[in-house]
Amino acid sequence: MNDGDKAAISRRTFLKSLGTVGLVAAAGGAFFLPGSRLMVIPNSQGFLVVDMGKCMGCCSCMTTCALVHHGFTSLSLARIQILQDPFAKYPDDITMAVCHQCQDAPCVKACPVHADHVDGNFGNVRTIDPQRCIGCLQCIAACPWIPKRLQWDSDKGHSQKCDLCADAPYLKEKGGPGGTQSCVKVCPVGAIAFVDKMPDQKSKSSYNVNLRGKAWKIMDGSTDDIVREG
Amino acid sequence: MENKLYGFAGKILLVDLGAGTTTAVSSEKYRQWGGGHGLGSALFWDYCKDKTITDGRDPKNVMVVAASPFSGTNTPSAGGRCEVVGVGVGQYPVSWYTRSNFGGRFSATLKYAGWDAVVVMGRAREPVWLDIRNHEVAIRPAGKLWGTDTKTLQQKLWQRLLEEAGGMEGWYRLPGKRGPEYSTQKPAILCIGPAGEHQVAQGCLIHDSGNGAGQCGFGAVWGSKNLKAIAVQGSGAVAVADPAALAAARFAAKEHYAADFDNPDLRHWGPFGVPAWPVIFFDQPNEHRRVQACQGCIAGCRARFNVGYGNEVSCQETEWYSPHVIKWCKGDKQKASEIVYKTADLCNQLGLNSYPMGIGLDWLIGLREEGRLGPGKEIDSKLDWDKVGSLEFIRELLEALARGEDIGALVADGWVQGAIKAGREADWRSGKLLFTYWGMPEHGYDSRLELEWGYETLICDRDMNSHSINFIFWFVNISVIYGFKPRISAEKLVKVATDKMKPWVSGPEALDYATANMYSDAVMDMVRWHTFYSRFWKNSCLLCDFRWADLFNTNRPDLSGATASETAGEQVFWNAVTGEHLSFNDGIARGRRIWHLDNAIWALQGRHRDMMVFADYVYDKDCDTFEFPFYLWPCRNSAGEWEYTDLLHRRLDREKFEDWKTRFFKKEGLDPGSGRPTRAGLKEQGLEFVTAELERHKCLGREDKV
Amino acid sequence: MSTLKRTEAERLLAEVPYRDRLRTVRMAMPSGMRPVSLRSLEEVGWFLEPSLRTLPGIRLENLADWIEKNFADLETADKLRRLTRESPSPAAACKAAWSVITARVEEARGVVDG
Repeated sequence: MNDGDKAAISRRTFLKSLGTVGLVAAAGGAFFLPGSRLMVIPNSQGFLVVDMGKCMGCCSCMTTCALVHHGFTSLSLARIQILQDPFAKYPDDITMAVCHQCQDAPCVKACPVHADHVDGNFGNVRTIDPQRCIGCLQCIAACPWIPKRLQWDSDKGHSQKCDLCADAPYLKEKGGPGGTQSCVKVCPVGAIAFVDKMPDQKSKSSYNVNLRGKAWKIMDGSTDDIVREG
Repeated sequence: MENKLYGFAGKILLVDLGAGTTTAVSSEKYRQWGGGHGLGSALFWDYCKDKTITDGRDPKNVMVVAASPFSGTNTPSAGGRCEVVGVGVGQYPVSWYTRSNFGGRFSATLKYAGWDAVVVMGRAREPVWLDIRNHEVAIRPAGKLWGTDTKTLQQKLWQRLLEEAGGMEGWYRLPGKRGPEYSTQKPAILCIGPAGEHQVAQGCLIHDSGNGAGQCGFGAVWGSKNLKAIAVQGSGAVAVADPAALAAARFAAKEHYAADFDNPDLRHWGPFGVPAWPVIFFDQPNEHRRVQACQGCIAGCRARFNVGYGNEVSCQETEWYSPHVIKWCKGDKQKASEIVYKTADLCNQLGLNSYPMGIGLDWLIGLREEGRLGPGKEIDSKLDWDKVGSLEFIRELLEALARGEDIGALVADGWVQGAIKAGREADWRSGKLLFTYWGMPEHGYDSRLELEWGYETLICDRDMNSHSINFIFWFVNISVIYGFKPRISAEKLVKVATDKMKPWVSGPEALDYATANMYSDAVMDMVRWHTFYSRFWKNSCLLCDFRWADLFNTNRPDLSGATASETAGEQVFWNAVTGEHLSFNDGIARGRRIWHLDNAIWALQGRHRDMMVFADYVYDKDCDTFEFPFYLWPCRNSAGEWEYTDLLHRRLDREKFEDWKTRFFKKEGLDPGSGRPTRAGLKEQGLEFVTAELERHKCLGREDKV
Repeated sequence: MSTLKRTEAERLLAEVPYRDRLRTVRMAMPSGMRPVSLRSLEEVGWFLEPSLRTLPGIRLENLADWIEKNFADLETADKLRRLTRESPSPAAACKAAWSVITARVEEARGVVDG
């Protein structure tokens, strides 16, 4: 391996402190370099970006997310979280918290049993296999964002996370990258968008974009960019 | 999920404030009533032991806060609304068993916590608040929370509850049956401000920044019970019978009926398909705001601003004070805007219903001009009335109203009661104090013109505030005022709308408001349809009045709205959530049954048809009070053709309206002599269980008259 | 140059007694039609000012009569009557009337302020 290759890998790999037994299956779309403990995590082929100035706070994305995944509506088990303070000043009154499908995927890295894995069948989306999850919560702890972008399902005793609707049994359309994402589809004002280009991983605000078009201005609203972390 | 009572959380919380106890009962028995109002009426019937009371501040009053199967789901413009029922405060001649309704996220959170409704009984010995964290419930002393405004109260409780909860970064911990559960959401709090604490008729319930159950004085009811707030935290879920169908219906509603948010049709007709836009009526502070929505809404109608005031205020509260403010600010709209929106905030923070204020203030100013109001005058007031229009004045006035002081002492039991107390009954009768029905202010839709509004209000219990039919007025008249050709012809509009009402109405004549048709059976059938539609689909299922019923919709090639449609009709959502096989009209039949249960309660309260009358001016004067240009409505002309016709300059004929009432009572199986339920009529509605109590109080109507 | 006399200008800027107020409405969908009392020409101007969110609900012929009766301003009243006849819509008429009233108030103020 030349220096250039090393650099390329180092940007999208990390050391895994486990042995090699069962790693290929456990890692899903990720793989270990032969003879090494370097795990290569391919980039997700899809991401959700949001406009925190456009969101109405109706939480339809949340209830629909839980609905298509679980068959019931819930906010706690939605894989997108909308947080609100009704008395706060715009735009800080709403925070939209989506999973970043991080390039280096700390949650995947943290999972000791590879339940949190890269799904090669669905555009390398980072997802959790509930059958395999042991409920150690390490994936949640590893998530660098506040609020944490993974959820704890107390009823079933495992973690869950956004899979871009790759495994959404109650969504009639095909989900995952290249398919339908229920939050994008249901949002009444288009405050959530699916993109296949990875947002800048170095920026803390790159998942927050401006989705307000001309109509927003015509209807006496602001189309100013909102720079927010998260 | 274990609970398979689809759409229902499965439990109802009984709170006996007198005994200091909380109990859970199963929702199973009440399923037949839907949720919201129907559920509330059934619970009121079961738990209010003396239904003859006519003042909601009576400790025997029982008040229900009820969610519906739609609460907490993604049913469009339904998931967050919440119904409250009980005997109200401040109506005239008496306060009926009545209702109010508010938006936000309270009902959804209640469901996530595992409760379909909260039944509040008795009176606590000291001020308390109710703490609901999933299945754990506690009645806690209010201490210093009593006396706070609604904003301070909520912010204090949020801080306290979230600190107590703990959790992991951004997620708060809640008690679960299998260990801790988590939520990112602030507790949903419904509370009263000083107005409720002082038990004044304008006291209302407030949730978050701008959601209020305004009409009927439910804040005063809570104040009388020493209940400051109900705070709910929930991390559970709502079981859905057919998740795929629910998701598909929600997507269909957006795709086929809602506005295209990137390319909205600004001349759209129909409530469901309007673009998300704040329903605020005065120049907004600036454009740096979002459109904000209740949970589950498909087109939000409020705003949150970057200026620190005016969040979530909407509709009437953003305009009632504005004419005075404009004058005070000498036309400076920017300066005026700040006062107008801060005034709306003040109403919400004091927990004061703003609706009577516009008309009430106009009346008070008139009395002052006539030299009847002021320091030491016939009506004593020490407020500085020279400063009407200023923030300083309105703060003093609203504080006085909230605390029942100064002018607030006069109207503490209601504005009509205040006028009578001041010897100004004639002002109310003549319309100078424009309170049209049940001691409540005219809503801006004159009962002499807009028939469904007035008629339905009288056969129910309060200003009906239900816009399904009323949207016809708006879309037609605004088009004409701007010089546009109406998007839908009168003939097409009445056909599309009344097709949705069949078989309750026989045809388009149900919407013919021409003077020749205004007392007809056809109009009566339309009023019945709308009353029963509202009783179930709106007030029980808790579909939002601003979006439903969607009778016409220009986003559709056939102009037919979402209501009753096969892809996104009310019944599609109901069946997907609950697993029932209810038709749209089955729902209306349920609404009819609920109305009859309500009517049985009103009978016990002493209602007689003679009380069901408008203020005298409605019969005695033509509607030409204001310099209003026209009031267009679909009517048939002498040649039988449909056209939009001006209805101004007419009055209601007392005798003909009395005859209309008689025919209505007969059609509903009620005693036409009194309007009271009959044994046979109750049986027909499956309400035999109320008969004995009515009989015991000698409130059953006479069968032979039907 | 205004042809208004000072006394006429002062009258145009005055407020009529409460009993002579013009009662009209502002239309706000779906809140309803809210009564508004107008007592001066300046207030009429503010009332007629176009807004994105509400519409003035007023019959301009009656406004013209009220102005003629209470402010003896036949010139403005006639302009309003003409607008009613010539404007393509009531909204356009109100917008034009707003300009007329505002200009008249400014003219009167100019005379009074010297």
